[in-house]
Amino acid sequence: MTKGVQNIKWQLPVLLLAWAAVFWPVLPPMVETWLGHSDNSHALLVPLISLYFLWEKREAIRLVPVQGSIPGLTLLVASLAIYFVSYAGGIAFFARLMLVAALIGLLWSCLGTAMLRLLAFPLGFLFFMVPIPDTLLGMVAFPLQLAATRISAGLIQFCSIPVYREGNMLYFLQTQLEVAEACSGIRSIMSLTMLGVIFAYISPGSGWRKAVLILSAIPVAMLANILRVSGTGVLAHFFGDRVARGFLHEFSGLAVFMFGLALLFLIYRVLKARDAG
Amino acid sequence: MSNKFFYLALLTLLLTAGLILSVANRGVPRVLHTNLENLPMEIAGYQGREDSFDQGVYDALQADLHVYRQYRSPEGEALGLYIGYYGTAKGGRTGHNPYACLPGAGWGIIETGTVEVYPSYYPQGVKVNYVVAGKDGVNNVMLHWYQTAGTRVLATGLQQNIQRFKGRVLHNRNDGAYVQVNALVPEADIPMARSKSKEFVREVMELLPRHWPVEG
Repeated sequence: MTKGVQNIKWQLPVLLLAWAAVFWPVLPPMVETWLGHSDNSHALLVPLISLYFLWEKREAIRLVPVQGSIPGLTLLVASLAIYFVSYAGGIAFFARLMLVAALIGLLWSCLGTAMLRLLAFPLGFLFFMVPIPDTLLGMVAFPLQLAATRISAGLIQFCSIPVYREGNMLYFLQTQLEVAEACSGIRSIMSLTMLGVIFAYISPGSGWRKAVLILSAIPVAMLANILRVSGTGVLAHFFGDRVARGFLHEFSGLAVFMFGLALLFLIYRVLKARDAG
Repeated sequence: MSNKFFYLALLTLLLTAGLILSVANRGVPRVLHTNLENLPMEIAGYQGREDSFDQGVYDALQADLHVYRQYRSPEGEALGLYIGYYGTAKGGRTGHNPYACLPGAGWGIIETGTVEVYPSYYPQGVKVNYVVAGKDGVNNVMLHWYQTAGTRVLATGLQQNIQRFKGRVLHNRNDGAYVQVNALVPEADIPMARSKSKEFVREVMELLPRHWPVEG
């Protein structure tokens, strides 16, 4: 065992501890955001998924030579500078992005470019744990919310059920439904995109097919959400608005997510089969 | 691992930790007095009365203070005033804006633009947003803007973000308010509503710095 490799055993934990200490002010609020805002709950799984992919590479890691990297050190310094300015300026989003960027810079600078290439996916995947700012989320969620309501109203009318739409409200003869921000489908888009990235990573196919797989998560999530809103509307017409609340609402959310996941898996299998062919 | 890179990385991290600690020690100011609720009930000859939204609206907006009033002139013209104030701890701004919320409530946006208002602290004039939205034959004529640091008037979210950033770095404070004045009128009255709203907005802008919240 070389001296450099021996040193890693104590140097790397020291550096990771220092990194955690530097970013400690943004860590607990970020976890609170994961727990407190359902749009970000998928982020809870991100560190675990990253650790899993890291664990999978444990044999390969031992074979990669360890060396320092000037570009890595530059990335570390730049990330820490942006983090400091963002933290002082109260911009949580950039501060949280730099948490991941600085970790990449740290490992790159101390372990070298070959190691970074090996760890690129587990490290890059950590960006999924950074919650998207509410203002940015709103900019995407509002048009999606309106589109979901508009298309669902059309589908419900197609089922010969009279419905009147006004903004995000659906008015039936006996009841009314509000397509809330949470029903915009943005949550499904984020979680299914994350899963699309995992599928793309484990899929042996070519680059463009991986891109198709990741991008297909967006229409799949939108379709699943429209089916959920339309289904809820049809049920509300026959059984009242209690179907839009409580257990049935939660269950339909889960069922529609599973449908989206199944559709994504189907696309993955089709692309894989085409690549094999 | 090369000792040189180890020590360089460690030094950079420790230096940043020290800088972060010094910034963290400044703390986040709390809202001590909201004050905006003490805006006069009579503004520009209009007499006000308190109004309220459904609880769901307040839950979505999550401001530190909401002021929502209906003002009426002796001639019977009505203007709505809404102020949502967000202290530094809440990041100084709302995540919502009329361009998304109006269509969400079934309003179709007919016209958007800016108009110039001339409060005493902006003798050269300052731009605020102008929106006309329609629903069921009623027109909603709306002037809205963001106000920070008492006398800073900003039309766009981007301008506000830059101002919030500068305020927080330099003064550890980035509280702000979203202010909206609106009138519900038939189509023929839109130009008059716009002109009256502008005058009312000018008076509101004069009052806001004197009633700006206190943080500490």
